[in-house]
Amino acid sequence: MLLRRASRFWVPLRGLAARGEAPAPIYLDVQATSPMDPRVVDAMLPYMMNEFGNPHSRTHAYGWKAEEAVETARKHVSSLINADHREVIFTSGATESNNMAIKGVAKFQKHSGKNHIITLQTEHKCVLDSCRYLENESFKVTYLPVNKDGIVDLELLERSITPETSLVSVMFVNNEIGVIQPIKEIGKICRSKKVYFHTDAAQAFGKVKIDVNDLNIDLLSISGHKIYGPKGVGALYVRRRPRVRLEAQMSGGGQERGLRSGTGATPLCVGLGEASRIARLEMDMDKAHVERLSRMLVDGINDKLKMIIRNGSATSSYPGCVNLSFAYVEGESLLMALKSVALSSGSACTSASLEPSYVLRAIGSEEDLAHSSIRFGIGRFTTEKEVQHTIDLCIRETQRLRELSPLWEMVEEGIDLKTIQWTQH
Amino acid sequence: MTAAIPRGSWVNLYKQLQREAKKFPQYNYRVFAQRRVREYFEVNKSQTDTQKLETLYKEGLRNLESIKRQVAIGTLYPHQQTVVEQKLNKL
Amino acid sequence: MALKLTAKTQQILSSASRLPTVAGVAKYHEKVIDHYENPRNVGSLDKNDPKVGTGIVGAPACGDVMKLQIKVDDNGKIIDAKFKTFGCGSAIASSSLATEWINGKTVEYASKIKNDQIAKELCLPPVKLHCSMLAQDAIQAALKDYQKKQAKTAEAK
Repeated sequence: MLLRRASRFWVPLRGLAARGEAPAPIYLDVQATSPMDPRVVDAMLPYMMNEFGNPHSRTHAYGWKAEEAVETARKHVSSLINADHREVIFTSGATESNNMAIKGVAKFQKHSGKNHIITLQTEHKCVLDSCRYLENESFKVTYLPVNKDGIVDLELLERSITPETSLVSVMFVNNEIGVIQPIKEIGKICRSKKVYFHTDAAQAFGKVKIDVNDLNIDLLSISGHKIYGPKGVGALYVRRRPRVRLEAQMSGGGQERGLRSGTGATPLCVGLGEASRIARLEMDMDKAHVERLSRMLVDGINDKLKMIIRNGSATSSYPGCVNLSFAYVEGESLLMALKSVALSSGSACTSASLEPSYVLRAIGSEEDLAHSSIRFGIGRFTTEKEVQHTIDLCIRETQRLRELSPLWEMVEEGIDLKTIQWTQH
Repeated sequence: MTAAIPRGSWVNLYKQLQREAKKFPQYNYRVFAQRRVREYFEVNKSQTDTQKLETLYKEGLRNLESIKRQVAIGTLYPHQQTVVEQKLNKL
Repeated sequence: MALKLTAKTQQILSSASRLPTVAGVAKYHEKVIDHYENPRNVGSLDKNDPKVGTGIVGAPACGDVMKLQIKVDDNGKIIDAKFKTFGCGSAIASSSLATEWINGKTVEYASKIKNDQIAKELCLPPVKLHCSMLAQDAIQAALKDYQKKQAKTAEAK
């Protein structure tokens, strides 16, 4: 065994650990993507090496084995949402699933005169962009506002549904502020008005209990790489009873019940299936762990720092996504200070345009607070020491940056910033 | 009626799992594996159904093999220490 | 199927050819990081002092606010410059550099400082050029404020 001297002890060399190079930052950006669970990698590898068959080859054992693997994966995915395995279609990701659901349903329903779609202002870019595309194809789309907690008004939603409405699309857990929408109530409203209900559950799948029958969901989008699975795979749940009809967006050999043609990516589907199986077995353990760390983070920061605002509802939200605004400190400069932690910010400087995040704007966050927001993502692999390091670093750097900030100086002097005439440039 | 799995086998399985989990080169996987193994044993400690216990035991053995394979693969590819790991090593 | 890693296997594994690690892409230039981590001339001067000119430019809504203060002696030379900035790393670096450049120089020299000089010195990418523009505006605003104060004291005399 190769050994290396570390301080006073002889420590076994951990594989080919890079020595003397800058350490990798702590990963707290789980909403962007998540590291793969080693068990998922283990399940995928045989299908990337020896079992390389095409699941649609019906004439030999390579194809049969691959098909069996994909069908097992499908069963794992469907059992996590209490659906039938025939209702799950594998796609290339949640973006494709969203596109399929929204464009597919809208285009199919146009024939029966229904051309109205309802969605929220805080949806993911792919949903908003699909709706914009449909608007260009002469569909009508209503973008409902949300309150300052990020939650949609149910009465407003009910009033917005017209006889021409074909689809309501509401995200389960928001990827920027972690807010959970009242899906059960929305499902009940949609079922009573006979309107299809689609939900983008990319952030919620495997983390929050979902029962598509209990919640009256007709279409559900799933993303592989948000639940410690591989990137490049996702799924769409399409209800069969009562049947939801879609127009297929991908033409080809009629795979996936004619809804999504193309060779199934066996290793990726197996990865998603294994990730779903693990999520079903370990959801409670994960939930307890994430809740504990999330509380530690929020309490730790709020204890030592003043003027920290939490974006989104604190009660109806997924604890693994904490979006905090550090008042009077700019988001990008704080991220630069926290360079040993991999985080994401809702500030303008980190997006391509100079506009702050549209989600923060929709919840009514003031512009300067939107510029100072940081999103902390806590997942299965986050450890207590990492969270403690982040808390300590955040407190230290925020205090340093507030010393640098003229706004903080003015606030300490008692000046109300809203009364100042700023120069625009 | 299958014989119940003796307590010694469970203890042995736990020790083996923890020993293999400690070998993960990646800090996050290492801490996660150690924690998850403990959580699994804690959640199921009052389980009495022999059928379920047997399934759990087989699952444990499968996971043990999986950990061994992933540790071997992890040592083949380069990885960097995270900030927290460096801090812990300095102590 | 048990997997046993013997000492020999370990040796073979560890002597396998190393794959190159992905080099971290530096997002910021080192000069920006240097100014950000060790900003020069942070602080405040007494804004009621007739020799001090204060320039506050930008808006919190835009994500950039710079406050630049200069203390000028009777010969028109800047003897002290301090800044405070609410903005990204490039904004902090631009204003820090600006105070470094104008400290100890004349008012004429300070008024001639252009944003492209600041941008070139810090190697700012195109998306951050507005930070250097704001720094130039801050210098101009501070000088204007100083001149206004000088005019007032001249009137009062």
